[in-house]
Amino acid sequence: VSESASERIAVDPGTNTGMGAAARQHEDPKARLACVYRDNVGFVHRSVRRLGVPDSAVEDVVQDVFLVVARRLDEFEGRADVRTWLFAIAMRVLRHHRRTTWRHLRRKEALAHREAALPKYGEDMESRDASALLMRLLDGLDDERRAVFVLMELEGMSAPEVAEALETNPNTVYTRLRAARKHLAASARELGITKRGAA
Amino acid sequence: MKESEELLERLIAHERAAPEPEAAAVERMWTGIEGRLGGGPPPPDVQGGPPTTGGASQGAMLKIVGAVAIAGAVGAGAWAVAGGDGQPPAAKETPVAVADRGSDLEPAISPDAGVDTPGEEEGSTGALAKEEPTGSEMVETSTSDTDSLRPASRPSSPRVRPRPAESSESETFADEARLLQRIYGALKRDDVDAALRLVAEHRRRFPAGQLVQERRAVEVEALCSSGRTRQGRAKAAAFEADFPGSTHLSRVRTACDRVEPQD
Repeated sequence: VSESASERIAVDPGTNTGMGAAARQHEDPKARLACVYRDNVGFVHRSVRRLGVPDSAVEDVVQDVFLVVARRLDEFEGRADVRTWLFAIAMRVLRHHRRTTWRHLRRKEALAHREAALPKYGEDMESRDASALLMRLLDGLDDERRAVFVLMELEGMSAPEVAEALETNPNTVYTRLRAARKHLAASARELGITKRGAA
Repeated sequence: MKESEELLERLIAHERAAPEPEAAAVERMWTGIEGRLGGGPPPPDVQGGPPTTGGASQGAMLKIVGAVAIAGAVGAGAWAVAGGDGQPPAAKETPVAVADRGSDLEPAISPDAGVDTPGEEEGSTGALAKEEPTGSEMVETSTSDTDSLRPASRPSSPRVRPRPAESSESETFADEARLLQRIYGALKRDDVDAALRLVAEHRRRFPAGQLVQERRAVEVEALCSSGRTRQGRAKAAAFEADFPGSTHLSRVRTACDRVEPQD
């Protein structure tokens, strides 16, 4: 009887270790990878989406990230939060794809994006619309500011953690966050999004 | 202005509550990973995050070896073309050019991709120092501070460009960052007493540190989550007065809102 994918992932049920002791204890590299995957796939999935990966490519990028993880898992020393390491990998995978496979796709999606109506903003707005609206605003940020915004505002990481993930210093992180917020607020005004709804 | 900021806060709140990927998608992706591990298309050839890996050391070593080899070859060639009579080329300049070219020639993404260089971002230190009164040390921040955050095993950069020497100040920043991490760790474990003890330690050891704002924000959160809301709100008000433009403000303002007061 073949195991389902979920059974194969659940190598160590009942624990949520990130890259904690349980994950490191597995001698089988695939079991370790499964541990890291199970605990962090949600984080990687939402991070790549928030970093601007086209919807149609999110799952491929997540796979790429974990394949890089599989190759480099032995090098992870566990001194930092595994999420900062995963995010750094995701950023690099993202840049690689941008330079190669997505050029054409992004142009097409950008065109469709411009033509698509803005989701209506209101008190009763659905989460999906709110998310789409925020992603639309985030598209106006450069990668660095977007990454800081995603990690600090949406993931709740601290400036030192973000600085570590992005290999910069906390002051730069603060500067980027402030610039990102300013830019996003200005974009919201420019797009005519108000409490009463999209213009 | 205020309205657009409020909107932003609402969108952020919505997005924070975004659902996890569906179980079917999680399974589908894992199946894809397994398939590719077994001989499918390889992932992009990227470096796996210098802060926590030793992988960069191999790259750095290769760069150095390559730089030395090419520098030697270029030097020997130039000397041969000149008939061996002239002065050999300036050895200290060649590795710079070669090292830079070497990083361009990496197959996919350089481990330094996306890393700030000093002065790259406007006001990355100076502007902040003007806006946020977090002490005189902030003005002095440089990328050497970042280096101090990295594990000891991280290799030094192969750049030949002179870098400012590591100072005791960068050590201090590393200590400060580590202490703050411990505060966050204690809060994550819901060990509020330990968090507040560490906050007091931070206040004592780094009265004008670079992460004073972080410490004061996290102190408010710790006080509120321990039920000391009156003290928490007082600290929050003081925080707002000292850092009116802080990015932590919304977090600090609402820290005590969902807590049952116990004082």
